[in-house]
Amino acid sequence: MKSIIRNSVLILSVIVAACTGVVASATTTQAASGGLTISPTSVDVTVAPGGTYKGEMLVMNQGELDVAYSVYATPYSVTGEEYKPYFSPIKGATDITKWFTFDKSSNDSLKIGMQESIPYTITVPKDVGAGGYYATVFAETSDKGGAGVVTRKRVGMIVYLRVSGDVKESGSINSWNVDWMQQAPLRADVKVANTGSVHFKANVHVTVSDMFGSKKFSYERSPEILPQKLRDIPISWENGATYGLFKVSGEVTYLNKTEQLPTRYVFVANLPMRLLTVCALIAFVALIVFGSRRVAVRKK
Amino acid sequence: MRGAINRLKYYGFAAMVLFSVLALPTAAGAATTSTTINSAISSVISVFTSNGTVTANVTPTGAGAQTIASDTITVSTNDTLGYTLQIADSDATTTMVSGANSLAASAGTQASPIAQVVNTWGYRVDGLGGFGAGPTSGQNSAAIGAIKFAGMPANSSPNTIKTTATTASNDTTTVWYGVAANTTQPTGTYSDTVTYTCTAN
Repeated sequence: MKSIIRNSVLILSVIVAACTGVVASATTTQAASGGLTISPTSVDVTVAPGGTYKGEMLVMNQGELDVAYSVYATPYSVTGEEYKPYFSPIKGATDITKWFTFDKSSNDSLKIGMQESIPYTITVPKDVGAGGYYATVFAETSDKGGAGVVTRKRVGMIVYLRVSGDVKESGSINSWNVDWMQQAPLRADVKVANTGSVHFKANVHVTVSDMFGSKKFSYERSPEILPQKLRDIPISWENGATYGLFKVSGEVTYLNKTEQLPTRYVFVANLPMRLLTVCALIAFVALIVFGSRRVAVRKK
Repeated sequence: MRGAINRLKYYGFAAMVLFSVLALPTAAGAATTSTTINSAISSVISVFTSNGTVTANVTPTGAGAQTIASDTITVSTNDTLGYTLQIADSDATTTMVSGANSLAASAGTQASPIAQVVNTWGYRVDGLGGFGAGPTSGQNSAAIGAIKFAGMPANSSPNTIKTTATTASNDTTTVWYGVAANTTQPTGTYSDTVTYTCTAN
């Protein structure tokens, strides 16, 4: 009898232990997230030589942990047509990070749900030439750890600074590419070149219409084009039509002028649909040919 | 004659009523004022991770053991041009350090990653560069697998791990960290700091 009870208790214990284990694994939660939010993501300011600009960047803690962070400025430049950002000094380029001062450059603990305004001042030296100068103001977490890979997060506000004076503003549309046959998503890209000495915004507006003129997709963005750089602006109709013939048209407005992009026609289809379309076209042509021959024979 | 006058009165009255009705919207419109509502919505960008520290402890073996652990980066922005997310070491030293000892960064790169060799550490992002599709899964001190890793670049040459072209809401990127060691690696608590950089495009 005792052994029966002992075995029953043992079996019960195993079942309870197993169930506890399941519950424990089921209640395992993901680690709380920590990080930062900033606003705005960029500013475009004009300052005269010898002048100053005062601005503010908002730092918010929308995570699940209190966070310590610091604020600082780095240079900003880009590489390639895709504008890969680069935040280290470049030899020969003016490093404008020395022009920045911050009223407050760190916080040991920004509480969850709190936000803080970081006032900053840009002081442009008197002897600086007119043109575009660029920097990024970062808010970076101060994560510390003793073991493993410690991960710090930083989010940056890009500063597009125009030092006023005799600047050269010029640019052009370098290319407008739309392949005539594509698979979904329909893609296009326009490249805008800045041949001047200061940045400008290029407003790119592209529409995709079906063959009946009904607008199916519209794209409008205004990216900054940095001096002496070519920017590739990709346009993609995500989750758009997977089959059909479409008309792609658009315009680019920059430096107070608007240039129309030549209208392009695009056939969107995946490989099986392309084959099916070709077969249908062949059948259609064959029907017409045979039909006209039969009519000619009957007339004879 | 009287009938004609009555008809005239009737039509006149009807015309007056009609005119009043038609004129009503004009009168009402004349009394309406319009208000233009302007609202500038600021651009924001945020970056979060699931871990402040990714722990990848290894119990080494003679042939070498490998631990793989992940970190998830979550980015949100209302900037219509999207964002770019980069990864790099926080300084120019890319080794994991424990006192006087160090664990070298993988010799692989993001474009040409390599299977991990003993006494190195590295990162990978499934589907990016030469890493291959994966999916990678975590492991703890298991045999070193064929899965490919890249060495962490120095802070002056970050690698881009994601670029988007539109707004993002809780867009996640998973970075996998691998540490491989054999018994020749001195015991210790090895550490290095990695920075995720996120900016709007």
